[in-house]
Formats: sequence, C-alpha cells, structure tokens
Amino acid sequence: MAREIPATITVLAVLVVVFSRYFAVGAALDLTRVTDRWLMLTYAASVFVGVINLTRLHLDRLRRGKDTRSYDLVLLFVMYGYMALGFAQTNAGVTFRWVYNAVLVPLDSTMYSLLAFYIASASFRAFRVRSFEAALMMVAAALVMIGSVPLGDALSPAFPAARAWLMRVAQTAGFRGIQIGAGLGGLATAFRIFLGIERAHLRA
Amino acid sequence: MEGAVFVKGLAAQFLLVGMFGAIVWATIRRARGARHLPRIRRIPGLEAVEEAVGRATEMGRPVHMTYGLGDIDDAPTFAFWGMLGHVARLCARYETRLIQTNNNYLVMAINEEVIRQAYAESGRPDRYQPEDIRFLSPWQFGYASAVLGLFQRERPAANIMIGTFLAESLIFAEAGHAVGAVQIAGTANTSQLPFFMAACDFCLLGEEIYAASAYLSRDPVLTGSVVGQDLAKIFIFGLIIIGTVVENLWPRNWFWDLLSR
Repeated sequence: MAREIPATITVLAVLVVVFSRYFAVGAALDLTRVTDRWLMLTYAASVFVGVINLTRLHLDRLRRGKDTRSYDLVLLFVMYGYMALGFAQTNAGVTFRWVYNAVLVPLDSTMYSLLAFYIASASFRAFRVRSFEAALMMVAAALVMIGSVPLGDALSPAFPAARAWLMRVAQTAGFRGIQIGAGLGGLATAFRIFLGIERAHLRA
Repeated sequence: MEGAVFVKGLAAQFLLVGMFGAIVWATIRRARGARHLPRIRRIPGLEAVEEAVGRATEMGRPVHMTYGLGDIDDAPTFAFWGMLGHVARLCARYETRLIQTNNNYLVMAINEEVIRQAYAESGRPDRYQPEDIRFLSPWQFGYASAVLGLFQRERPAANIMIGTFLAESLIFAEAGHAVGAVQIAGTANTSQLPFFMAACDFCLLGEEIYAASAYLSRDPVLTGSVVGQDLAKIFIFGLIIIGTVVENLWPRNWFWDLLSR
C-alpha cells in the first residue's frame, strides 16, 4: 500500500493537470489552481513539522551536552527570535527588514562574490591545452573575453564580431540541442512515472 | 471558442505529447515482451559511479550527494532519486558513509526513505545513519556555505551532483576539487553545464541524467523507455527539420497553421 497509494495519487494528479491544461472544459474549471493550493498547504504543514523537529533535535543535543552546544543555541535563538519579530511586525516591519537587509543580503553577496575566484581557478584547469577540444574551448573563451572588453574593439572590430557570432550562433545552437534533449528526457521521465515504471521515489 | 474541445493553440501540442508517449509506451511493451531492443550507448559519467564509491571506500572517506536547489516537482529531482538509490546500495555494500545534503525539506523526506530502503535491500539496515542526511539551509548561498564547511570537515572522496543547480554549482565543484574528491555532475540547466564541464571529472549533459536510473539498474523495461525516448526524439527532430525548411520556403504556411491549432 505504501507504493500503491502514492502511485494512484500521481496518476490522478497527472490526469487533472493534463485535463486542465489541454481541454477547454478543464481550463474553464481551473483545476490546477486547486492542486497548486494543495501543494502550498503541504509546504506550510511541512514547515510546521520542520520547526518542531528542529527544536526537538537541538534541545536533545543541548541536553546531551554535545560540543556543538553553541551552534544549537544560536540556531534556536535566531529561529524563534526572527519568527517572533515577524509575528510582531509582519514582514513589512522596519527591524524585520533591517535584519534581512543588513545580515542576509551581505552574507549572500559575500558567497556570490566567491564565484569570481572559483571561475578563475576552474577556467585555469579547463583551459590547459591537453586535447583538441580543450584547445578549441580555450580559443573560443579567449575570443569571447577579448571581444567583450573595450580593448578588443580598439584592436580590431573583428573581435566583437567574432564574440557575437560565437554567442549567437555556435553557443545557442549547442545549448538549444541540449535543452530540447533535456526537455524530451523530462517528458519521458514523466511518462515513466505516470506508467508506474519509474519508482525510485516510492522506495521501490 | 464556444464548443471547442481543446484550449486554443494547444491541440497540436497535445497530439505531439500523445505521440511521444505512444512511442515510449510501445518500446516499454516491447521490452516487457523480452523482445530485442537497441542498446543504450555507454555513458562514462554513470560508469564512473561505482569507481567513485570504491575509491571513497579505499580511502576511508565518505561520499557526498546533492540535488542542488531542486524542488519536489522538478524532473531532475526524479533523476536524482534514480541515482540516489543506486549509490546508497553501493555505499551499504561497501560499508562507506553516504552524506546527503538538502535544501528542500520535502525532497529530504523522500531521500531519507530512498536511502533507508537501499540499506535494507542491501542487507545492512544497521549501517543506515539518519544524521548523515542533513538539512542545511533553504537559502541558496546559506546552503552553499554549509556545503563548503562540510567538505572541509568531512573531506568526501566522491562528490555526486545530479539535479537542478544555479550559481552554487561552481562553489560545490571547486570545494570538491579542493578536497580531492572525484566529481560526477549532471544537470539539465544549460547555464550551469559549462561550470560542471570545467570543474568536474565526469559530466552528464542534459537528458543523460534522465537515463541514469535505467542505465544503472539495467532494468529492461526502464531501458526500453529510454530507447523509446530516443526514437521519439528522432521523430521530433525530424519535425523540427521539416518545420524549419517549410517555414523558410513558405512563411506562415499550412504547417504553421497545423501546429498553431
């Protein structure tokens, strides 16, 4: 039953979505709005369960005196503190927004800025000319980089033109091929789930 | 339109999806009847999975697996589950720790069940460690920074990333490289594929991730569905070529009208 019930719900959900998207009667009934609401309710209920579970887990660790006690305390303090602030002020509150803008946004930006260094180190490894493909990639990357900066245009108008061609034609052609393949792969996966032969998520 | 059966502009799409499904279904039936089907080509990224887990076992270090920022209703997340069961079975058999990190609590609930079942199937339910399936953060860069820290502390010998990735893809891949992990990555998101190509040892391109469960399980019926998917793809690509030629020769013609219905 642990497999049959989710499989049956899956088939019913697929039928509702297909009926609502393609058929005029289904679209008029707007059934997907109902299923979307169910999904949102599931998420909301899961958050509630998650908060209880996190609290139990960290209180238990605090009681057992593990060496991560300081982290447990910080987590519980931040979770309940920010939750209380949200309830008191709503998400439009000045302090609530300040915490978000002054703590989360800079932390996010810091992590994002690391990408510049990671891109440099990954490119260094990828562009080492070890094969014909690697050489091709390095030449293409060099052309795109030179064509993107004012120096390229100053050296020759051929650099921005080559960059534009690489981005618009060569790259787009390759990416679209992969995108179409991935789209059809996703569709085939949906069919496998609908037919009940893809059951990895049902513990089968 | 009054009395119309289909939503305007979607009749042809419905028929195409139906034809695609019919081709996949026909090959599944053929596979169920134990009749001959073409083989799936070798996919190095999937061949390397067992080698990566074996390497982690030899080094006495864990295997890390993530689906990135995927949600419960994303197709790449289903591809991830197909691979997760296989990797968990290998880890159970080789007695290697599997650390699976999450940023989505609903996906995590399913991951726990998939891994628990894999350990039970391998006859090692005692090796299942629920604390190794970790919820880190629902926040993209919070999750990325937690994975960075985890890599430094746990130093996994294999890092398998299959699913939906955004800017954190390169952060994970470079962190994995820094600790010397063998890295197998795959995504359908074309904007992140170049990062995986540049930074990982093996890369699954787009649709290859959807073939993972069939390829790894060697299940003939699942394999049949992948063959059907490829046949349907040939059919769709044929339509694209016909459409391109016809549209360029006679713009806004009968073919356009047919597909716009």
